[in-house]
Amino acid sequence: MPNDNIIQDLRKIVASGTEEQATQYIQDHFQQFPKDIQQRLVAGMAADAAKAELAERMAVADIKSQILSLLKEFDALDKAGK
Amino acid sequence: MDSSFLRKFEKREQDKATEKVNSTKTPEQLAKEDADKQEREARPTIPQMVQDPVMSRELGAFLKAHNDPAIQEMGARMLSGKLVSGDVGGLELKRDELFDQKALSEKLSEKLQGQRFEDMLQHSAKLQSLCQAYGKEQIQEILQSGAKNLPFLDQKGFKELAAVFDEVEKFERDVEGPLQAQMTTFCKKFGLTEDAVIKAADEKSPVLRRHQLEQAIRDNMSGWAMTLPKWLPAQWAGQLVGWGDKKKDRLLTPQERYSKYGAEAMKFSLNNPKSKWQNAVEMRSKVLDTSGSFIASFVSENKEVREALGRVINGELPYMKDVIDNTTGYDEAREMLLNESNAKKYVERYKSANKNVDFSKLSTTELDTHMDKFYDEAQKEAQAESAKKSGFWATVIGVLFGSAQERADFTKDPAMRSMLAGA
Repeated sequence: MPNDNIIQDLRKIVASGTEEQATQYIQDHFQQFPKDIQQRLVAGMAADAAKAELAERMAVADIKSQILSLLKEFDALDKAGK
Repeated sequence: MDSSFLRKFEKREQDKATEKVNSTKTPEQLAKEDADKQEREARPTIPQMVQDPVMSRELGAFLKAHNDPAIQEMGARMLSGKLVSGDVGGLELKRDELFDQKALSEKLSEKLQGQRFEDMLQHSAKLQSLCQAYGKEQIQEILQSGAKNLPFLDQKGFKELAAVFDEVEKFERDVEGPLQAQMTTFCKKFGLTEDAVIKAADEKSPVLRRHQLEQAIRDNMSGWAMTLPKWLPAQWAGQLVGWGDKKKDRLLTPQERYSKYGAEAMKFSLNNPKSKWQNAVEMRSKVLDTSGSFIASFVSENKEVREALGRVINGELPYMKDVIDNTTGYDEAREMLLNESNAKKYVERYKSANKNVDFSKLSTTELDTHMDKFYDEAQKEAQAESAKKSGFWATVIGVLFGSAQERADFTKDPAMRSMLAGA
């Protein structure tokens, strides 16, 4: 159920508390936020998650391309008969 | 020169250019463009939208979601029928944006389920905690319905979410897909086990990844080394690259090789320092050494090294530049809050913009008026600052901005009032 003071309380925590406290507050009181704010918060989390996933996939792709570069150099050496 | 002639010339050149571009498009692309054009032309006009209760509400919410006073004022003028010069063009642009975003938000909402949702959970402790506390289905439903509503709630949040998924798709199409195809082709050609390479690259543990990566490269080395026996005396070839022992022998250190094959084998190596065999080993080792430093640092267990390296790589790659660089951390986001310590920077600017006012001699009513004005200006500046930021904490600050409570807290706060009224 939406709680009128929820934004005000969150604001106080963000102003003076730690990231862990603010995160915990949002998690514990999530259902008390108005629906539109729940949607904004979850979308913000999803965007961060998608960025983290993309960063990881890019890192993997980069490793793959490094391996490919190595193999290409080996291949070139073989072709040159060295 | 006659300007009408110039215009005709320009138009003809433009038509030629369009024709040239169109000639490179597939029939499907041309048909899609045609359909898009028809859809745009069929869109309701601004007066039609204002007359329709649903569309009018949507347009109002859409303009409000921009969190931009100039756009909000334009919306207010539209509703009161007091449009000024430039409003019509501005509103038409916003109408097109609204319809484009509605279509995009539907597609985005469809994507935020199934494996895509599971992948996001794997990368967000916050989402995982919410799912554990309130159920995965409920959180997914909030996310999907939120994606459709975001154009009307939070423009910045919508654009950020849409941009990230756009980057994901571009990356899949332009980088990951071609890389994978190249890897498949190349591994086949080179006789390398693709599974080993993929397994190495996908391994999450840095230690295991490095081990598997080295293993994959060494497996590859054993492939070219299989041709060696033809240059070696039969006795050494049989020992060094013997049946069933080929790969294993490639991995032996000189000491191990000595233990296994004895002094004769080592003598052979020492007496033939520039054999084809040794040249090949040296050249390949050199390649591994120069590339190995990158791999070693990349798979380092040190989290900070990995993150720093990740940032460098991300900075070099166009896909990550805007997406990752602007993500705001908790402490940075907090600095955008309008509280006593953060508002100090706005006080000086406000006072210098109102040099004719003696703030120390204001009556309570006059101070109330200035506090309201000061709040509006500080909030506008803080919002402009926060508009440049992205990420979850920037979203939270956006939620906290501009509430009636914030205004009351700010304007009635004795510390804020004395800050403005003080010397």
